[in-house]
Amino acid sequence: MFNTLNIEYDSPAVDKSALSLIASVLVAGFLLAVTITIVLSDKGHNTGLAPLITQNIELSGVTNPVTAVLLNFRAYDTLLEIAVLLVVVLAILPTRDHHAPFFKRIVVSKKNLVLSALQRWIAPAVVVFAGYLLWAGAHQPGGAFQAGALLAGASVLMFQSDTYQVNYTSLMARVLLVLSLVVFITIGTALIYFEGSLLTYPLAFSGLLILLIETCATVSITLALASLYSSFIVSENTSVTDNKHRTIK
Amino acid sequence: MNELSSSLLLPAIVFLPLLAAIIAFLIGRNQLQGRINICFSLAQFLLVVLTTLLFLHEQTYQSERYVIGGWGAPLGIDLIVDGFSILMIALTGLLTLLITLYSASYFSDKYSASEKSLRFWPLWWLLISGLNALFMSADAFNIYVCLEIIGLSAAALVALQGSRAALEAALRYLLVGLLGSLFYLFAIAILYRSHGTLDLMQIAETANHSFPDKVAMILITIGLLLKIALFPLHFWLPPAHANAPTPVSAILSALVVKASLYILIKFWFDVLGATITLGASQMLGALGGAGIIYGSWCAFRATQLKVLIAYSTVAQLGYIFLLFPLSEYSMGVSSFTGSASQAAVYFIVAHACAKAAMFLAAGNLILAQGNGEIAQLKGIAVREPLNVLVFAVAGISLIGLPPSAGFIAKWLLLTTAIESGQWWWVIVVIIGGLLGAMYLFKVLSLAFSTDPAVVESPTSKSTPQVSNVMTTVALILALITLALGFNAEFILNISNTVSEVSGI
Repeated sequence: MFNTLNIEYDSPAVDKSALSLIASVLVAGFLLAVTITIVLSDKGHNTGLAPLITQNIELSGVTNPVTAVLLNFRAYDTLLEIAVLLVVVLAILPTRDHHAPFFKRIVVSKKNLVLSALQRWIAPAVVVFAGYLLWAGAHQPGGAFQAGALLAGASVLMFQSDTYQVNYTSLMARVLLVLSLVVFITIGTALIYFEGSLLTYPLAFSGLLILLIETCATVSITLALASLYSSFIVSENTSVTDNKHRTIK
Repeated sequence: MNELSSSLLLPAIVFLPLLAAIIAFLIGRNQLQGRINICFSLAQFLLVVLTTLLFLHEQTYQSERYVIGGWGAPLGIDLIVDGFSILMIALTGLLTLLITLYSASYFSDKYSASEKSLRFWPLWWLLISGLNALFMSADAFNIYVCLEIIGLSAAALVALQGSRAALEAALRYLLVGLLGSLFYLFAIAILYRSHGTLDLMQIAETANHSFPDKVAMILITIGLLLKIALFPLHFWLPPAHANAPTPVSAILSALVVKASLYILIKFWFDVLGATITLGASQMLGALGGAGIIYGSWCAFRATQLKVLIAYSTVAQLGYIFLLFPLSEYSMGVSSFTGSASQAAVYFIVAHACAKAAMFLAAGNLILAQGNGEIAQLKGIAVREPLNVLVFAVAGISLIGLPPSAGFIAKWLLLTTAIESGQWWWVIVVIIGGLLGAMYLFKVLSLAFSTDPAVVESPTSKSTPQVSNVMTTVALILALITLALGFNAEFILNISNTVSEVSGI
């Protein structure tokens, strides 16, 4: 959608509007800095919610306060954030190729030795590390967003050789993209029935449910970020793939 | 199970559109697509009606809090509705139902827009879900997340049109929306630092005239004014609203700008009411007044039909901002009650219905005509009499002529202005009404002028027929606008459940 926008720069080297833009940004930055300084000098500082979180952390099912806030205390926010991610994917999703398979491997005649070696060595390690981050999120910094970002990075590396192609509009891709939202909503509303209120985890299962939600979120986030990358390089790749289709035939 | 109350239904109002978005995304383009979405909009409407009735039955100022996750206010997030928010939710439900019906035709295989339906429906439902979530949120950061959903999906919906102008407008809309959100987020960070909570009611309890609160209020006001598009920050609105697909234009003008306005009113009167000064509210009123004059003048000069309607939105938003200076004289209470707020609420509802009707009718006229030039509408009343009627009725409400919702809204505004002794706003309102009549009658006089050469031209046969559903939906909205003119107390009772309504 946005990637069809032509943003080539053909104005003179010293652009008056650019200068005024820089000047206004500087002024705005200065005002911002002054505001922050004045606000911070105010004595009315509050301890915030940190003590309350440490009090309740044992009831949350995880020991990392960030994960506890994101997936238990304020899980509703995270649920809506995942919906935001879906909005972004929808905005950039290509409309063609509904029925092409989700995943396609193309045999490339010309292989880049360095690149393929890099892929073989780094990509599996990244996948393992992402799995670790996901698991570690329960008690130390980590979690779904970090793991998903790592996996998306690995898939960007794999896309470099044009060997693998993912069709983001296939049914499989669409299912995976909404997986986290579906699981989140299902668990959240099922808990209304079992526990009486939305997203109220029973203490015995809270760790497990959080891990389940985070795992699904990792899958969706990975695919969403990978689709962002793919949609921005699509204009260069379409000609390449066309050539390849011809060589396969 | 304990007894059913309105607060128990609140999560369902957010999750039902989310579910609809997921299903629309999964089924993709399909023969049943339109019907499934209509079913969802019906279910959503019934749910909203049930919630509204339950809320009215409870006879309270605010519903009970829905405590998500069982944590409670400072730690978790709560949902809550009061009269104003339940009115906004009901309005969203009604417009969702009608515009979904319209869109099911607009994006059906009959018209060229059908290939965009894959993207339209999920984004549409996500937008509705964000709006509903916003109106019931009791948490400052949760409101930020809702604003993100609304802003991003609205920008994506504008870009759906695919033309170069639409993409540029969408990108500008996106960037302005993000800037506005960032201002808001910065303010929330300041509020959290000084109050140690994100719950709106708890912030309100400890809010005072201190410096950080004032800075936060200024930042929130600037950020939300950007999103509301009050003059002179309106620059992004006309291209975005004019270039979007017709149902999107309707919802953007009717509800999306009102969502930011809702938050501003909430902060201004409920949360940070202690920081408000006389000068600030007079300035907002002055900007609103300037918006009325400038927006009406630009609408009069517009050559494209949808641009005219978009500028009319800029003008109409100006009227709502007169609320801020007019509620000044009853400032001691510092809450969203009193005749000025009633006028504003009525204006929001009246404008939402009238503007949605007008955009839908304009979309139909453009579809019948082939392009959006006002000059080409000559004699269109002969071919599309019903759509011109809808346009005229919606126009009557926007100008503020009786019997229409717009008349009641303006009447309330004028009486409040006179009662409070701020006679200068009366002049602005009257000039705005005259300018409104100018730009709307310009279109209508063209539509009714008969020119045999144009009517019998062969090009009219090649353009697609406007489906009956699309005309009917626009007509229903126009009739609602008229009906609201006769039934003013109905709306005012919803928004103001406890105190007695007076002044009509």
